[in-house]
Amino acid sequence: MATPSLRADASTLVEVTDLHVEFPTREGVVHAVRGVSFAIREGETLGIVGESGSGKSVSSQAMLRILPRPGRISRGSIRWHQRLPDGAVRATEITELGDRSSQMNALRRREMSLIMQEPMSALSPVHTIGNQIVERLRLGGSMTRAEARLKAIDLMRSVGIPNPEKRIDAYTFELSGGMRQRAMIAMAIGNAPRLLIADEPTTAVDVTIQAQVIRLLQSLQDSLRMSILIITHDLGVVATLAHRIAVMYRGEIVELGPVRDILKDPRHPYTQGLLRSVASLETSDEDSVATIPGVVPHPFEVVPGCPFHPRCSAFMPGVCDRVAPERTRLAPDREVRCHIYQSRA
Amino acid sequence: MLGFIVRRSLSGLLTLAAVSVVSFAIIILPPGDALTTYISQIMAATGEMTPEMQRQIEHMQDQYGFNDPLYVQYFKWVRGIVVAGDFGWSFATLRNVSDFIWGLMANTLILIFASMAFIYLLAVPIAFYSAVRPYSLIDYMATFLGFLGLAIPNFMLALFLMFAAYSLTGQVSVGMFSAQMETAAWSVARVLDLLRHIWIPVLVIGSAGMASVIRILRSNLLDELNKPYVQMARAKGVPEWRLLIKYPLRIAINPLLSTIGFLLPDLFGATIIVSIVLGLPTVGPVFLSALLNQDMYLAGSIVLLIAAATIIGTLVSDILLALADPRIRYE
Ligand SMILES: Nc1ncnc2c1ncn2[C@@H]1O[C@H](COP(=O)(O)OP(=O)(O)OP(=O)(O)O)[C@@H](O)[C@H]1O
Ligand SMILES: [Mg+2]
Repeated sequence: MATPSLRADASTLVEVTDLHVEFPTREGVVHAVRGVSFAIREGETLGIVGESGSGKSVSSQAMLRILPRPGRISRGSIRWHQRLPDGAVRATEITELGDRSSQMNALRRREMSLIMQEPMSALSPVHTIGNQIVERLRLGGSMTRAEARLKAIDLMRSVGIPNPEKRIDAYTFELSGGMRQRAMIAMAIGNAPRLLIADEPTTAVDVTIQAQVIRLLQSLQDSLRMSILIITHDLGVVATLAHRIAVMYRGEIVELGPVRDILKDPRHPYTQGLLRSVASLETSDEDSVATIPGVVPHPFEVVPGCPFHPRCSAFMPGVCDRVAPERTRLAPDREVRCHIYQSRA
Repeated sequence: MLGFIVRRSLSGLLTLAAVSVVSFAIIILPPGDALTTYISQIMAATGEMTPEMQRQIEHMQDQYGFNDPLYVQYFKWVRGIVVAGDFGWSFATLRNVSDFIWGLMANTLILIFASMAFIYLLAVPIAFYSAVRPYSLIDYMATFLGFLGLAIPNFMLALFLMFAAYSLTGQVSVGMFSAQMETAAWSVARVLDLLRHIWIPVLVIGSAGMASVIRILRSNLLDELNKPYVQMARAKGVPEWRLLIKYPLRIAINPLLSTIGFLLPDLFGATIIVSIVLGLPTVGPVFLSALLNQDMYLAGSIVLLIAAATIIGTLVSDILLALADPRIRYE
């Protein structure tokens, strides 16, 4: 299973710069995402890893403008590069669109799509699978109901759902976890999106299905030439699927770079801990991240300096607990957010 | 689905059988038998017993089994209902219960269903708006008015509306029909006449039941709005209004369907007081006077019919729920 290679001249599809997301709640403001920057190129797979609550889902929901209430983008930019039929590229600033605007809906219908963590709760319990896939197909293009239904059956077959002519009229609770996840993938790829956001597509299914889902995503990327943003706890998944990874901690990207480089030579103490804990388990268990000593501070808590310093093995008193580290470029395609490298630079 | 309907219908029939026993228990509850009381009343009034009356009494004795053991009496009563639609003799009005009960029942059910329609037609959009724009002015107003409706006693609101209608139109609006329409056959004119009269009781009964329906639906909807499937539908680019109606509203309404069944007895209770205040020809006031006069066949029959209506209502709401929610259908 080799990661499909990326064309060197691939252009940028979406560029996220200094993204901040806040949830003003009664108890206080939760800064779920604090200044995240990354870009995804055409045909590229970017993996986001990080422990629970680090802001992975919230970042992706901000890109689709489907943040749950009361979440809002408080700062930053999300620039979408849309390739028009005549070959020209049109840039759209997603943060400036209304989250219910027709321009945003147009992007959601044709350009990007989402696979959610829990297919059982992400699909409506009172509508058939077919109804939900057909709805997606008809929103994306002018298709009659009958045409969309035929296409939905084709899609279901292409993602490996046996007997799709029958399953299309099934409700979610009549399908197994793996079949539900495949149905959601069929819905997501229906309109051949340019970017597929897969938010932990393998957590709700068992290990054998996990491997199948990963292989499926890989072959879909090959055939549809789409970009993938994959969010996961599982370093094994990123290792097989992604070109680059972004490691998130407390709403920040602490390390970003090509998969092979980071796995071979992690620089941020958090990434190092993450890899060590996986190595010591010798499996890619999804809870492996939790074996780094210490706990994530509560999201309301404001941690001065580097957010990782209370748990960091390379903690430098007087620096890490005072000053927030800047992003430091280690190589053209690699960056880290840590004082160790900043002082050296 | 068919199996589901058959199962629910059978259990409904069993419940109905149990209710008929309870209704019969009500009939035989007062000490002494009704016939003896009746005879002594006649004797006190006329001083003698004509042979014709004697025959009538003997006939009733035979028909309702006053001299038989209780279970035979029960079976005779039930057989009379099932075979001949005969609910027994009303000793207070000296008529067969079945001669006048159906008209009263029809009026009662019209009033109940009109109130129910009023409640749902108003509560669903209000709750929908309140949930989509929570803590907005309209949300607060809906809550306030809902509690007001809950807090104002029905009889007071009925009196007030009657007074207001009189002050505005100069006409006293009592009853469910105008005098000339009271006994007329159903026609467009009669329905219009009904609508002209029924709005006051519907408003009174509806205002009392509205608050709880709004509250239930609003909180169901608020829960549903945060579910991942709603986010997923947004991510698909479904236009917002279509999305809200197709997904969260559709799902939040389901639990409401199952409340139709138990809303019925509540609404029946409300019709009694409102009917007394507004002089409506429903079973409510008749039920009350039947109990006061120990007119037990009448009272027991009303209990039985209202219970039957509730059982049918529950059955219908179960079926509606199963149609709306596949998870229940496939259980
Ligand atoms: N509706 C909300 N209201 C308030 N805070 C929220 C809400 N949704 C998310 N958050 C906050 O945002 C932070 C990031 O959440 P997010 O779901 O992005 O985490 P995650 O990295 O996807 O974790 P997981 O791996 O568990 O899915 C959390 O700490 C949480 O406190
Ligand atoms: Mg998540």
